[in-house]
Amino acid sequence: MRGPLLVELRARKGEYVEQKRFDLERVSRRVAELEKEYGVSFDPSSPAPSEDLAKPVFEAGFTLAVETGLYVVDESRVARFTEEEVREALRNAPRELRVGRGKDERVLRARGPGDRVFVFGGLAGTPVPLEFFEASAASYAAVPRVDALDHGSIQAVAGEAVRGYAPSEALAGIEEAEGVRRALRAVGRPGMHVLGAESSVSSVGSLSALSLGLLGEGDAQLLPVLNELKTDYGQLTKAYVGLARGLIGAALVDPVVGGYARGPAGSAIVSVAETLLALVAYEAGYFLVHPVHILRKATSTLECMWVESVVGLANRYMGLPVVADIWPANGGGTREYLYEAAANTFVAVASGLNVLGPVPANGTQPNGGGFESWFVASLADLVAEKKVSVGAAWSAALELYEKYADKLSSPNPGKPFWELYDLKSLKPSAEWEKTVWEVLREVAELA
Amino acid sequence: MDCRGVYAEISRRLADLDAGTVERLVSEALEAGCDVVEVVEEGLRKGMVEVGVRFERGEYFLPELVEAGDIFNSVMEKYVLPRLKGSRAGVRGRVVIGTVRGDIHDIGKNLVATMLRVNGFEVVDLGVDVPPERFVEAVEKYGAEVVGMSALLTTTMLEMRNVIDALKAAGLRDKVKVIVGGAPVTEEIAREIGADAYGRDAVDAVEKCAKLVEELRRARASSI
Repeated sequence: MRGPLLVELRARKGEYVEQKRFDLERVSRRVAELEKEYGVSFDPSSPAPSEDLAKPVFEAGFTLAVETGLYVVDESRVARFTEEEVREALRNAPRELRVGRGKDERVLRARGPGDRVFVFGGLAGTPVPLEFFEASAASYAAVPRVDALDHGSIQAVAGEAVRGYAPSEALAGIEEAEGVRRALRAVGRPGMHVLGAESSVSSVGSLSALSLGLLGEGDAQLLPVLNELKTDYGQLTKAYVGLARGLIGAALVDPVVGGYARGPAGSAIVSVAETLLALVAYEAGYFLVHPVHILRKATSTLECMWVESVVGLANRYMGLPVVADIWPANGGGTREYLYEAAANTFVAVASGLNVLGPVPANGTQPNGGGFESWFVASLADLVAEKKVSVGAAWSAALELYEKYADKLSSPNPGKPFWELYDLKSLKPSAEWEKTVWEVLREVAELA
Repeated sequence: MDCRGVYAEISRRLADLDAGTVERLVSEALEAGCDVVEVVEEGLRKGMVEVGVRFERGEYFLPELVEAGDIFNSVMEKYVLPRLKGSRAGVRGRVVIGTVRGDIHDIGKNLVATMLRVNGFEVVDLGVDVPPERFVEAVEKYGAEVVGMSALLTTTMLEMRNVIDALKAAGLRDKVKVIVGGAPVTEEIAREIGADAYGRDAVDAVEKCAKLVEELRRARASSI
């Protein structure tokens, strides 16, 4: 039986738990206990994680996944899986995936030290005006080193704002997928792997794009695990239909650091648990780790980089294709944006993760383009080729952190894509190109 | 009884989430004749502020904020409010808050609601997936001074505009201030949809709500 259906059947007969009790007792309280039992802690004065944390974080996450299970919001009930079921899912999970089609096919794998880094580009999840949607998508797809595209959300169709769960959301999902396809054809990479339809975090947009064949084999759809250790029938339905159509499930594991997952230590444990649960429930093919800082949001905060780094280490015991989201607080046109992206790339790649990004301004504004993904890819290649250790990567990241820490609480969102890039050539302005090169040379020294 | 000493102890125990002791101390202080407003301002409120400080420093997380909020509400309901009946003492403003229609995300909204309570606001939490009509009803029913709306999805954040339109249609827009927030929301979007303020995060939202209430009360006073 496929995972999403299994979850529904388990949930229908599962234990009823009031949501607040699930959040506070089943998740938060148990996570606090597991932190102590397994000796997982985060020290802000010395944030580089020890590689010895890999095993305890994996084991604590595994314990949480099996004990707590997945909360199905529509039923207010818990779907549980046995230890053997989780182990079997791990044993059978693909270590590498062939994604995309034809000459644009690429391999996304569970990375070891020195392995090539898979790079996603695009303004993932970011609202992008329809008139600039294709050009901005094309600017990422045109970068040869970008392996796959995860582009933004369309907010208005037929001149009206999109409404969730309504026909306009279906239309937004379709327009987005069509826009991405046109952009890929325009840059001569029609078979590039697409993660869509981001215009719809509910199931409506994805199901609509799927039904028209705009997403198919070789592509992926986003399947978030709801905060924390939760799902709903919308996600499960989307996952089920996607599996039936040969679509890859891209699980979004995005614990709120400072929320019910507690601090960085608890969030790392929750991330592992959510990864395992997404593997069983959604039969996800790959996993996007995106810790969200409860106040600062950005993945480039020390706390979130620590979570990504530790999940990368724990993945030695899971062996899954895991991708770190890189979402800086600042945006295109600012040096801080590049420093954030660089610090995040250092720790993610050295810790064994693939990368997605950078997505500017915490994904709130379309203030970036493909040249910044080239920047991230160049740095990722350098870190991988030189087999930079986790400790050395953290030393570099901390040096960079000094350059943007003050701007995390009042970030500069930067300039929109259409001011930073030429809309015909898709090239960055001379000034922005110069800045990116300068910062790349500066940060490459640290590798 | 040394009321000042007890207030400090209430504040310290509340910051440490010691529910039993807080309840006992508040009850004893009121029985002994300590001023009820001072119990709130010098004891409970200061304790909640310390909880907020610990949260910002990363020592406390959302569960601790929720727990502190529960202790505060329980003590207020059991011991303080019956003595304050009819009085608005201790209330910095009245906020109706909810996640807009089509969106079921509640962590950000819960955090803002808790931080508002921590800072002395009375909060009516409408929950998630709230249609515009319910915001309007609640504003009328509770005499809200601020409406707070949250959305996590780019496809649902524009629903906030519908709430503002519904407030206008009900003739309430100039009687209430509107603040919006959530991951995809920006200052620009807030302005575009006609909100009065944008809360970047929970701490910012509390500061903005305080300003909005002040503006509203000043405007009301000058129009009398």
